[in-house]
This record gives sequence, structure tokens and C-alpha cells, in this order.
Amino acid sequence: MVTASIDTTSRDPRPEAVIGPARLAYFTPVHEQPSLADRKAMFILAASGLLLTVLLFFSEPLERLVSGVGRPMNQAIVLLLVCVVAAVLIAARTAYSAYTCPLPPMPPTLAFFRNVAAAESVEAYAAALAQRDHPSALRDMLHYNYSVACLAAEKFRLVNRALSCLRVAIPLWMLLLLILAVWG
Amino acid sequence: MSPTASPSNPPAAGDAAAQLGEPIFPDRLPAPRHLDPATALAFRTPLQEHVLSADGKAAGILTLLGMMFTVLARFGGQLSDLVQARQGPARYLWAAILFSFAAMSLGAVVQAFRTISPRFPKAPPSLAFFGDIARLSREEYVARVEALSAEDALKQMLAYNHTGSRICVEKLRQLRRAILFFEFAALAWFIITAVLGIRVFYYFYAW
Repeated sequence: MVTASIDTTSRDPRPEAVIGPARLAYFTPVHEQPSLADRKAMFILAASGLLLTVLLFFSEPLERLVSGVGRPMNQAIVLLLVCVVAAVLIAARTAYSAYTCPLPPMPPTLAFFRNVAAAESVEAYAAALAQRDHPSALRDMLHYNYSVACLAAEKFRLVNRALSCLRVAIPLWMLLLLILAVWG
Repeated sequence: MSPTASPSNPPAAGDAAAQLGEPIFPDRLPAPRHLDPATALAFRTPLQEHVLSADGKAAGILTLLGMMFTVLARFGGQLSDLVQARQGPARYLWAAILFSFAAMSLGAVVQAFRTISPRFPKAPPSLAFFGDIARLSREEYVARVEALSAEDALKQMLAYNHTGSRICVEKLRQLRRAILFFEFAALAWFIITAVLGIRVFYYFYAW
């Protein structure tokens, strides 16, 4: 149980001065953005895995197809295969980088769980919170928001790059399977 | 039920301290005695779940198409027999169905990717949008937000909501097209797999 009393309103002379920024800071919709980017990265990783698994599954028919057709055609199929594999691998690597992207460092703020966990006890945490007035609590939240926004921007930059690769890889992969289905 | 709104009359205009009610909890900012409906709605407008829903459906379409192509490749031998039959008009019909399936699938893939990563509409920068926040330095962001009035903060949120809603509309528009393409592709795929299935079963039974 938190035993320290937290009476921030009695210490804050002008709470109405921060009410606008505080609303924006506490309700800035940045916190779900990294999770959204992570979902997309997970989808890209799963799709890349499936594409490569299916290609490996059809490796023998593909080998027969390549060795069974003439000179320019087999080179075209091999080139298509190389393009698909390269695009899928680049997409997977980029998506993995996005998935494991760390949160940028931020000044000490009690909005961040590591700083909350760094308090020796619940009482120490409550005491640290009790020292905050509205402007300093707002600043804590803003520092946290900024780091999360930078994390989301970096994750989405990588995820969009991975999606560009997958956007090329999937139609080529479909074409390869169609060729295999009709002429394999 | 008893009313939860304050029964008091509104205080005189200009008396800012009187317009702020006592906070319900000691750790909450004092709220205006009469909750501003515009602010309440603007800061709680639910947009994110619609984005997630559209993205999930687009990802589902891509996954299903991947499965369809895998199944067709698995039955490549039989499909090859259908399309490369030596005589009869049926080969042209099967080639047309297969081509329709490929074309519709390609359309569905393109639209699904457009759903997942749509072109962002031109919009005024907002301090509620992560991209605009990340473009600033930490000091600049903190200083800008701290300098906002309540009205300006609301405007930032309104700009975010409006842009976010336009992105949602664009995503759903692309998703509708993706679903349309997918339905035609699925129809063609069902026809092909049904015939392939019957042929496989027939040959197995005859053998």
C-alpha cells in the first residue's frame, strides 16, 4: 500500500495555466503507435517466413523446371527466384530491426517504467511523485511522449521500407508459383 | 439515478479560479465545473481501432492469397494438364480462369498494401502526431507544448483527429477494393480447386 499522501493541488499555485498542455500531453495518442508498428513488423516476418518455406517446399519441382526448359527461360526463372529471395530476406531483416528497435534514452521521468522500478520501494516512488507539481509532472509526460514518438517514427520508417520490399516480393512469388503450377 | 453534474449556476465570466471545480481525486488536474463537451470528445475520439481493423483485414487477405497460390502450386501437375490440353476449347476457358485469378490476386495484393501503408493526405502539423513530434528536438517539443493555451491544445487534437479520420477513410476505401478483387480471385480459385479436386478423386478412384 502507498502510505505517502500525494497532495499536488495544494502545492500548485496555477493549475489552470497548464490545463491545456496537460490535456494534450496526457492524451497524446503516441503510445499505441510503436505497438502498431510492431504488429506490422510481425506480419512481415511471418509472411517472409511463409514465402521462403513454400519456396523450399517446392524446391525440387523448381529445380526440375529450371533444368527442363531452354537457356534464356531458365535464366529468367533463376533471376526471378533470386529477386524473390533477396526481397524477402531484406524485408525480414528490416522488419526485425524495426521489431527490436529500442526506446531512445530520455531524461529521468516518472512516466517511464524503468524509472518507476528504479525506486527502492513503493514509499520511495510515492515520495518522488509527491515532489512533483503540475508543471514538472507535465514535463515528465512530455519527455516520455517525445521518446515514444521518436521510437514510433523510427519503427515506421523501417517497417515502411520492409513493406516496400514485400510489395515487390509477393507478386513475384505468386508469378513464380503460377509458372510452377502451369509449366512445372 | 441522481445527477452527477454540478447543480450550481455557472460562475461569473472571467473568474477563472471559480470556473475550476475541486478535483475529484488528489492526483487529478482540476476540471472545469461544467465539462466542455468539445474537449471531452476531441481527446477521446476513438480512431486507432479502425486503423488496426483495416490493417488486420488487409493482412488476412494477403495470407489467404498466399495459401491459395500454394495450393495451386501443389496441384501443379493437374493444373498443367487442364491448361495445356492438346485440343478442345476447354483449355482456353481454363487459361482464362487462371489468368483472371492471377490478375484479381495481383489487384488484391496491390490494394492490400495500399491499405496497410496508404498515402498520407496533406495535413497541418499537429503536436499530437508522432511524426511531427519526432521531427522536432526534445527541447523544442517541450517548449511548444508548454506554451499552448487550452484552446490551442484542443486545436492540435482536432487537427490530429481530422487527419487520422481521413487516413482511416482512405484505408477503408482501399480495403473495400482489395476485398472486391479478393472475392473475384477466390471465386476463380474455388472453381479451379473444385475441378482439380474432382479430377484427383476421379483418378484415384479409377486407379
